[in-house]
Formats: sequence, structure tokens, C-alpha cells
Amino acid sequence: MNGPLGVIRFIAGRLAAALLTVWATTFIVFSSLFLVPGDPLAVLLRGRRPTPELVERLREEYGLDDPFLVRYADWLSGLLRGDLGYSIQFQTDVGNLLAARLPITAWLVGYAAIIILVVGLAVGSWSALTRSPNVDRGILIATSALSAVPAFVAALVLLLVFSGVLGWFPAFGAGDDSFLSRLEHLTLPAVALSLTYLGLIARVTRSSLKQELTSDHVVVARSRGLGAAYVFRHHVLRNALNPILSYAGILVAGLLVTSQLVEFAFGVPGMGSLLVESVRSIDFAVVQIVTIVIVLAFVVTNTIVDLLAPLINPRLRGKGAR
Amino acid sequence: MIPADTRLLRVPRRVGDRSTRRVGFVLACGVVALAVVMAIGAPLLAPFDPLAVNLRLINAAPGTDGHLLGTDASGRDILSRLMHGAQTSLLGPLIAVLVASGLGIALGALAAWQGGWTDQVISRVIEFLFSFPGLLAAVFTVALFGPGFLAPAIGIAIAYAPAIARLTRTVILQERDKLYVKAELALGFRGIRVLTRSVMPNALPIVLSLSVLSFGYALIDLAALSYLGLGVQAPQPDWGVMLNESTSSMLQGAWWVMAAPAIVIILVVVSVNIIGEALLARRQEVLR
Amino acid sequence: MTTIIQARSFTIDLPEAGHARPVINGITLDVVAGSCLGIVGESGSGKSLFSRALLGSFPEDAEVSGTLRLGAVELTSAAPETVRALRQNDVGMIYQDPRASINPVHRIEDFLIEGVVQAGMLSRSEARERAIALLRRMRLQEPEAVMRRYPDELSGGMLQRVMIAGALIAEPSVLLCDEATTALDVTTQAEIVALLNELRVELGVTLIFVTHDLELAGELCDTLCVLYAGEVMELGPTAEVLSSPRHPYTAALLESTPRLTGDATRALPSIPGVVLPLSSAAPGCVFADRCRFVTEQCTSGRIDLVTVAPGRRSRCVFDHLPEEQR
Repeated sequence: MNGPLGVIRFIAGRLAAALLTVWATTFIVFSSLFLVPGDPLAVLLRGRRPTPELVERLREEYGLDDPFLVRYADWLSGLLRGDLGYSIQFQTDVGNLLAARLPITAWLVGYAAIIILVVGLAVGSWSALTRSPNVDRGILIATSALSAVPAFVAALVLLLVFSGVLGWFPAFGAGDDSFLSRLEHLTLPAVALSLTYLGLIARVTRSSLKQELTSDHVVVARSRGLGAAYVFRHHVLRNALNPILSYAGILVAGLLVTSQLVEFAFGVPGMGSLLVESVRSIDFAVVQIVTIVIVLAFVVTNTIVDLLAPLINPRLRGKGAR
Repeated sequence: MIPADTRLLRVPRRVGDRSTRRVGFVLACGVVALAVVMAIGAPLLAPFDPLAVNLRLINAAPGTDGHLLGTDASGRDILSRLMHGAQTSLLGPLIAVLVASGLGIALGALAAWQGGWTDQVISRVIEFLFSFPGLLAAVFTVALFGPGFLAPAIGIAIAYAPAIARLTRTVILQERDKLYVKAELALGFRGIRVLTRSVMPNALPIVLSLSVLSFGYALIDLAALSYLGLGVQAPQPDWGVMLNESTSSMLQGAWWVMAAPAIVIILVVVSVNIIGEALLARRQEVLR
Repeated sequence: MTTIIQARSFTIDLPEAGHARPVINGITLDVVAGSCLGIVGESGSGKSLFSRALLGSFPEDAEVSGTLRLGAVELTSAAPETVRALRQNDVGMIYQDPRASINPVHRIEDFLIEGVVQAGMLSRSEARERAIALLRRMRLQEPEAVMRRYPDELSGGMLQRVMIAGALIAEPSVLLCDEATTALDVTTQAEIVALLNELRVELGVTLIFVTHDLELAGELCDTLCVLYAGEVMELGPTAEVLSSPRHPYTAALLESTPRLTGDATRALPSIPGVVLPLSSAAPGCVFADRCRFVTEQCTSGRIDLVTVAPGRRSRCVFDHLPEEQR
């Protein structure tokens, strides 16, 4: 990356790659309907009474009378204009559904992400910094064990213990719009959601911190009489940040996908349970959009991390980032 | 780019010393063997009919009337359901892993051996597929083909194939630079023969250890799908289905209905992970 | 003439399979303020351990005995705060590989001023001024621009000058150089050595120059201390040690040093064998296994470091070398 031209080229390259991925996703998501053997209308109507109105609506929605590329172009330009399609199950625009469901999932995923970052970074740092091999091993085993527990099992166990036996938290729903109600209702789901990824982030934190802690420049910094806390913040954590940050995309995508299970278990009316309901009722328009939203979140997060990486570590600048 | 599903790219971490690891490995093999025996022998070994409803004995505690693990909300024997459930619960991931491995190895080998634009295209496709987490791919497949046993397994296979393809490509690229390959090619052996007879046998062990690892993840994802009601359908005794049905029992305090399938899933997954990581760790130096 | 560093029977033992193994064995020496001491030896001789000990840092689990004083501080028993204050104010150190020793994610400015700013000795702007002045003294062009650069944007020679500036910013009385020029090419090496010499004269800083290169040490140091397997083999004024080594090990080291002058076709002799860990060495001279002049006497008992001439000490059963080796 030499000069402002290089910077522009770098940013443009990343954005183009992100756009290409999202575009390819829309193409796959749309065209897959026509890859299924048989009449796409049959797929869309499966399990429903084919009333003439419904058939007409679907024909128009998916442009079934047009050639494939025209259909796709129409659908895509609709997406870009904000027309996300029509849900035959909920009998409303997918955009409305998403507007109602997405904020709750965002709340839940954000809550889980905060738990993961705070606890994961703390546990990972503890494991990297401790002088006791037993503490380190204990944390390693504990985080590995947590990672082995599927999110829906964790959800059921939490439900049983904290809601059923102890009665500390509500077992169902997302509460009303107030902050405290949300906090009360979404705490168990967020904990269930965070458990799997907690171990991952703790392990990544541990290994990148360990690598930095033993690096020459950290030893030198200590030998210059700099304080342990300062060296940790300024020379260890700062350098370890990039490898940890590179997991942000996975975290977002993984949490969004896993939230299906947790929302289903706790009856939280978010985007995840919307996806499950739509798949069950074969409401394909909703499935398409939710899939695109999840991939979009993954790509956007990854792109932001990619763009930030050279700012955090100047070494990446010369090489055009990675 | 790091794929959305990182589980397949984890570098094995070795816990404990040599002997603890060996004991762990043997125990893990034992658990998996037991699960397989349960699945195959279910019709002979199961004490009860897994589908027989007994409304006079619902949510019975373990040990009641010969029901070793108790009964569920419909009074069905949990142990028998676990044994019969092992069939779909293990076969699903097996199909997923076989398809993913076949696809992944073929794509990876093609990319590495052909090079040039073939490699470019395949690598791009792999990178693109990395944006789809396994569970999302599976759910999407179900939306297309309807709930059931096979569709989700194929969806998982497509989501897992890229990681296997990428590993295959890396390993074969490393093998290809070795002297024996150059020598055989120089001697005039046909490329395809060198690839299948000489390179693949060296590359396969490490790729297959990744396949073993991915079996555990596929099991979790497919159980999750059945739990959501999108995979194997009730009243079939799949482990995921059993968890789904355990919710009502749990609210009445019958926690064992949930605990049995949960513990079995975790045990099998952890065991498969131990085996897979032990196999992978043995081949680690190849990648370093 | 004040003594700034004083070691008396300074020993570091490392526990190893049940018994303690000395990695530094009874070093006794004095360094006069403002002078330059060269510590010479092969890898494994304990020279780096000794220089790190001067920073108050000892290997983990090490057992330290004897005394090692730097100024008023007894390093073998100093409290952590004392050691930190010492590192902040009194001792600077330069390492072999500046690229690995400077954090690549921060600007040169951060590296230079973080020590004094964190210690509260100078304000940021005062520290900046002093850093720029130091960079200029290191003969770096456009020091203000260098301050804004990242380590990866500078050459190895430039980085080593930055490293020296960073070590000098708190105006320490002692500068430790651990193989400070080894990673540099010959021309840059000569420039850095000239710079260090200049700093010593102008700032009066005491230099401890640790190297495996006798020749290089000869250009800079007043006194040479030749270490082998943690023991001092020979100690004396540089010129005398180089012109008439008293210890066979010193002589062997001198012969195995490549020279630019003289007969270029002569095969470079090497010292046979490897440095043995002390625990495996038989009683007697640690160099006996590799020595050309070994006699029965060498391995029969302990050999002490004895004064062989005014200001010169050597640890050898011969009080002088055979005639043909002079």
C-alpha cells in the first residue's frame, strides 16, 4: 500500500470482493429454487391448498412466466428497492416481518457477543498469563468441554435449572420493549448462545497472547523497566488484537445461525425462530431473505475487520493486508 | 479468509500427557463402538418397542418397571428409543461426511493437480462456500426439499466439503513438490496414475482425520435440525427428536428425559473429537 | 576512578535433574566508570546470561550466589521496584536483532519515549525533543520524519541506531550491548562501533560490549574478559590480551578469527570439540577437553584464576604459553 492510491485500491478491492460474495449469494439463493427437480410452483406450494389467487400471486412474485434471467433481474432489483418479497405464511411483506424480528435477534446476538468478549478475553488472558500449569490446563479442559456442548442442549439445561428449578428467569419469550424486560428475558438465551463460542474466543485469545508474551520485543520492553501492566496493554494485547479480531465475522455468522436453536428453545420471537417457522411451513421467500441477511452480516463484519487490520498492525500495510 | 464454520479448521490441542491421552483414546473408541453396536443391534437388544406408548407410565423415573432410563412424556422406554435413535443419529452424519469427503477430496485434488485457472475457480468457490455455516446450509436445503433425513445431510455435506477440499489441496500441493513425484513424472508415468497411485495414499490419511473430526460436528448439526423439527420427524426416535420432545417432560420436572439423549450426544461427539484430533495430531507435522 | 560494576564470586546455578549446574561460575571483576569492558566467548559461554544479570534479570529457578553490584544496587538481592528503577534510569541495553526487539505496531517515537514518559521522568514534549536530538546524534537523516515511521520502514542499521537512542534516552550510566552488531553487515557494523566509541567519549557512559568476535571487541574495549563455560579464562587490558594471550583458549579464539589482512589463503583453524556443560566436565580445567596443551595436571584438580602480570589474570596450569605460541 503505497500512498493514497494504494489505500484506495486496497479499500476498493475489499469492497468489490464483499459485493461479489453477496451478489453470488443472492444468485444461489434465488436460482436454487429452480434447481430442484420438478415444478418450482410445486415447491412453493407444498403443503398448501393451491387457491387460484395464491398461484397467481406466486407466479407474479417469482416471474414464473418469464425466462430465468429476467426473473432473477426483477427479483434482485426488487431487493435493491427494498421489496423483500411476500410471505405466504404470514400474509405480509417479508420486510415487515424482518423489521419486527431482526431487532430482537440483534439484541440477543449483541448480548451474547458482549458475554463472549468479556468472559472469553478474560479467561483467555488468565490462561495465558497464569504461571500455574494446572490453572492453564483446567481452563483448557473447561473451555474444550463447553465447546462440546451443543447450543440447544445448553439451552435446555439452562432452562431446566435457572427457569424450572430455581425460577430466576422467565422461560419464554423476549419480554416487552423495555430494557429491563429484555435483559430479564434474554439473559438465559444469551448465555446459552455464548457458551459454544466462549471456548473458541478464549482459546484464540490464549494462543495469540502466549505467542506475543514470549516475543523478543516484549522481553525487551520489560528489560527497559516498563511496568508489567503497561507492557501487557501496549505491547501484548495490542499485537494480539488482529488474530482475535479476525474471528469477529465467524462470531457474528455463527451466533446468528445458532440463535435459531436458542430462540426456538426459549420461544424468543426473533429472526432465528422466524427462519425455523418459515422452513417448516415452506415459506420460501422468508428463508431466502433470512439466508441473505446472515451471509450479509458475515461478509460485512469480515470486510470491516479486513479494513481495520492494517490500521491495527502497520506491518500489513506493505503487503496490501494479508 | 476464515470460514464461517471454523470448527473444521481447529488445530488440535493436546491435553494431558501421553498415557492420559492413550487412555482417553481407548475410552473414546469404546464409546463410539458401543454407539455403533447400539445402532446395529437395536432391534435385538432394545428391551422395549421404541414406539410403544404407555399413557399409564409417563415420565417414569429411571428404574421404574424395568425401564432402565425411565420413560418419556408418552410413556415410551427411553433406553430403547436411544438405541433405535442411534440408527438415524449416526447414519445421517455418516452420509454427510462421506459425501463431503468425496466432494472435497475430488475438488481439492483437481485444484491442486490441475493448477492454473481450474485452481483459481475452485479456490474462489471454496472461499465463497465458506460464508455458509453448516447449519444454515442444512436449513436452506430443508426449505428446498422439505424436512426429512437425507436433505439436511446433503446440505451439511455441501457446507463441510470446502474445508476438506482446502486441506486436500494444501496437502497435495506439498506432496507434488516432493522428489518422488517429480521423478515419477519425469519417468513418463501418466499424471493421473501418479496422483491416484502415489500422491493420494500419502495425502489421504490427514484428510481423512479431518473427515473423522467433521463427523462429530455433523452429528451436532443434524441433531440440532431434528430438534428444530426440520430433520428426522417424530415419532421416529432420533436423538435430536428426543430432545425436542423432552421439553414438556422437563417442565414437569422429569429432567432425565432430556438428560439421556443430551449426555449420549455429548459423549459421542467428544469421543469422535478425541479420535479425530489424535489422528490429526499424528499427521500435524505434514502441515507445519 | 570509581568502580561502577563490581562482581565477587558471582555464580548462577540452574537446577538440573537433582543437582545444581553452574552456568556462571565465580566471576570476579571490576569495571571503572566510563570504561569499556568486552565480554568475549562462544555461544554457551554465559556471556549473555551475565549481561542480563546486570539488568537484574536471572533465569527462572536460578540460584544466585556471590555479589554483583551496579552502582549502589546489589543485583543479587534487589527488590523488583529497585530493579525497575535501575532499568529505567541507570542501565540501557541494545540487542542483537533490532527488528525483533522493537514492537512493529508502534511508531519509532513511541518506542523512544515510552520509557521516560511512563517513568514520569519527562513530559511527552520534552521526551520528543530529547529523542529527536538523540536520533540526530545517531546520524539519522530527518529525525522528525523517522519519529513518525514504523519499524518495518527502516533498514537494520537505522533500526539499531534507533535502538541505541532508545537505550540512551534516560541518560543511563551503563550501556549493555549484547551482540549489538552481529546481525549487521560489515560496513554498518563499523559505523555502529564508531558511534558507540564516540558516545562513550562524549557522554562518559560505561560500555559493556558482549560479543563472540575478539577482533571487534579489540576495536572498542579497554579491558577484555574471556568467558568459557561460565568461567573467566582470561582478563586483562585489550591490547595485551590480543597481542600476547596467556590462555590457550584465548589464543585459539584469536586464531579462528577471520582476518582481512595477512595470508588470505590460510585455512581457518577451528577449535575442536564443543562447549561442554559444566556438570559433565571432569574436575579441573573446563577447557581441557579441547585444549592442545592438555596435561594430566589440567584434569586433576581445580585451577584458579591467577594474576600472571600486572593487571592480567589467567586460569591455566601454565603460567605462560609455550614459546612457539607467543
